[in-house]
Amino acid sequence: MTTVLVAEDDADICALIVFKLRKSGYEVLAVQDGRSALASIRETMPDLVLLDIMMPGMSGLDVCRALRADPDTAGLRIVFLTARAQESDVRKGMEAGADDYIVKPFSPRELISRVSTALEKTVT
Amino acid sequence: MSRHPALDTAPAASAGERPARTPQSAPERPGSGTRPRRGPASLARLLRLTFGLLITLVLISVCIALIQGFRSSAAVERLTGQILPLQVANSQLLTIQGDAQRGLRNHLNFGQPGFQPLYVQAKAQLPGQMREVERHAADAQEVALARELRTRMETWLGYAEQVDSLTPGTPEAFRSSTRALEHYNQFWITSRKLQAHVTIEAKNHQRANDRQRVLSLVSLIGVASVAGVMALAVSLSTYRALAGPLRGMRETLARLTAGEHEARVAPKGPAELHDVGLAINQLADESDRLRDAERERSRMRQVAHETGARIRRSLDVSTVMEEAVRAVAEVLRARQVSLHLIHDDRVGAADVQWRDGELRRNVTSWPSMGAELIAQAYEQHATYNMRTSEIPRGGAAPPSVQHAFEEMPDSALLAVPFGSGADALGALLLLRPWHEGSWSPSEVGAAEVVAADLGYGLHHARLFQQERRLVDELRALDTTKTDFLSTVSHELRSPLTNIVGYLELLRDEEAGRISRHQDQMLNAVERNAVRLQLLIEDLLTLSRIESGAFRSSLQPLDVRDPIDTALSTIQPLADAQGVELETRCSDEALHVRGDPHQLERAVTNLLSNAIKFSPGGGHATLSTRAEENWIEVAVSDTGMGIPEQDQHMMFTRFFRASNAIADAIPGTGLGLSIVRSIVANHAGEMDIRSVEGEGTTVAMRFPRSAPGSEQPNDKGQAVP
Repeated sequence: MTTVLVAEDDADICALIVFKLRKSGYEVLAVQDGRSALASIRETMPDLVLLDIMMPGMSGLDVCRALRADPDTAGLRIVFLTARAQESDVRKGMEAGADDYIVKPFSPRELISRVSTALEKTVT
Repeated sequence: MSRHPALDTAPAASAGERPARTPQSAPERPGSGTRPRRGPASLARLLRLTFGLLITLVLISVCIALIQGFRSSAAVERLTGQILPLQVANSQLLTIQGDAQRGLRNHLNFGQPGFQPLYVQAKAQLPGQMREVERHAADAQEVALARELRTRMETWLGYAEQVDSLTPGTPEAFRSSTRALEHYNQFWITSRKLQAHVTIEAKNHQRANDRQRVLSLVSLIGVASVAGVMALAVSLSTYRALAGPLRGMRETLARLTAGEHEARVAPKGPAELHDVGLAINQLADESDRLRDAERERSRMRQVAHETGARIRRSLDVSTVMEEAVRAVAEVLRARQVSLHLIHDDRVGAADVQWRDGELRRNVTSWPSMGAELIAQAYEQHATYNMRTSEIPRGGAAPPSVQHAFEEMPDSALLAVPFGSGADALGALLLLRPWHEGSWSPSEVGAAEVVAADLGYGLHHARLFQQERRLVDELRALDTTKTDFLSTVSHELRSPLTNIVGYLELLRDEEAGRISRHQDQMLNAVERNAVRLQLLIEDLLTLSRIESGAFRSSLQPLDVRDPIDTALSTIQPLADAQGVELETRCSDEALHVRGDPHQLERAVTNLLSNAIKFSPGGGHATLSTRAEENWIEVAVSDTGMGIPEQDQHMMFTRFFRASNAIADAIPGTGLGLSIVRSIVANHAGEMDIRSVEGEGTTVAMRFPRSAPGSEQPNDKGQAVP
């Protein structure tokens, strides 16, 4: 079963994503901040990580860079969730090594579609 | 500083106006005004002397001529009046005597009757003729000879009268005749002597006369020659005396006229020309002095002008003050220049001071005093040019300032107030040791010009500083506002994500079935969520436009893709408003270089407007058109339209058409302004055509790009 880790500090959004992903047949792990995300990812090695950029403590960008720097996690699929749709934010995300980004507010259906697209890339 | 107008000019002018030049001026003008005691000879005197001599010579010539004339006429007189008549008279006497002798002899010897009358007649004439001879006898010898002749004649006559009665032809008569002849011979001898004497006399006279004529002729020629030679010599020497110096003067004047200012006449020649030469030199010297003064004045003017330009160029208060102080110090040979600004109606520490080549700020060594003096001086345009040791005690300056002046070495002080408009801003204080000279009028003028520019420059710099502060504050405020807008917009996105996300879950019946009633309610929620989302997007975009971060990342794309996304976003709104949404899109790809998100925003905004401003329902059409170089995307509606007077304002931020406000249609007035920014970012154009009550068409045109340059879209959104 495909495992997706969701790192999102907004509990309601987190619950929404977890609900929709599980409904769509994914196994979902959820954390509320960057450090927990990093620890949890290294422990469970999920197939895809949904990273909110603005998180307390360690930002999604830092988590992404740390993952890409570590050979064990360098190949992970990473998709950002961001409230900032500006080019500079997007560029920073892509430079940090993200596979895709989803701008808030998003449609849950679109989220699932993006996630599955990203995962398909992994398979191929 | 003391108010003492009498000191402003008088002492400065008398004691300090170029003291260094005074000793030089004496040798520069030798013999000016008074004649030199022993100079060159005067030409006039020489000429007077020469002409005097010439006239004397002429007079001598005339005298010689006159004397000669007199002598000649005297000689002629003697010759014609005495000698010649004597000669004639003597000859006639001899003839008459001869006749008498012959008459007597013939009578005695031959008794010829004819001779008696001859004898009688001649005898009768003899005394008269004798008197004639005596009358013409002049000198002693002639008189003596005449007397002898008379004796001889009377002897003959006496004898003749004794014998004329003798009977002719008798022996006694013959003897008597012989004796008479002897008497006659005596007479004849004397007459001949007289004749010979007179002849010699005549010759002598003639010879003497000739000699004198020659002598006087020679004298005249001699005098005339002397006069001629003298005249020639004088002419030559006069010419030589005049020509050389005059040529020198002419050449010097020509050189001076040609701008060779150091040319001078070498004074020589007669005293008059010598004086003229000196006068020319004096004029040239004076002209040099004037030129020097003018050059100095013009240098000062130039410096003041340049300084003014430098001062005015700067808009920084410190720089303005430093420039002014440094310029004044460097140009005016000041030992110390300080600039005192008026702070809170007082003047004290120098805000900037230049001393010994160093600029310092806030030099507190100067006592503080009220600013009224400076204000008063500024108002009266008064500049104080004085000697510190001559500042009167008990003047207007406070004792502390008076004391400070007394403490310093004797100096030339120049105090120039400056200000802006009617307000005095401060004063420039210039000092230099008194022995280096007081401040000349041109220096004072230059300092005044710099002070005027300083006032002007300071005023402007202060205004500029205030403006800049204001601008900085406003800019900070604006940044805060933009940041706030951005933060708020971002913070609004998270709750909106929840609303939109959970709404979709409910509508998808992920949480169980929805009744029709519930569905209508959820529609309302969705509509407002979309509205809120658009509003937030507008605000966010505005904050990015204002912060300068609104840039497009252009990529090759098919413009139909963002259009489709926008249509799907806006569809619920159209449905709710009862607006029929029609799309007339090209079947072929429409290639442009664009930012997909921004193009989607632009189309969404236009569609949103079309629906919003068709309150009673209606028709909205989105159409695309491909031209040779352009791709046009237009949105038309059959809504309320825009009043004509509002149309030119439609791209202004926060501007809303008057009819929209009147109908209380919600909105921010940002939509079109954002669309315009997007179109501008794509090097495109847009326009609005609208008729109030009939509808509006907004068209955007983007540069068409070459087909085939399109790359696969990341989002992979398919065209339905």
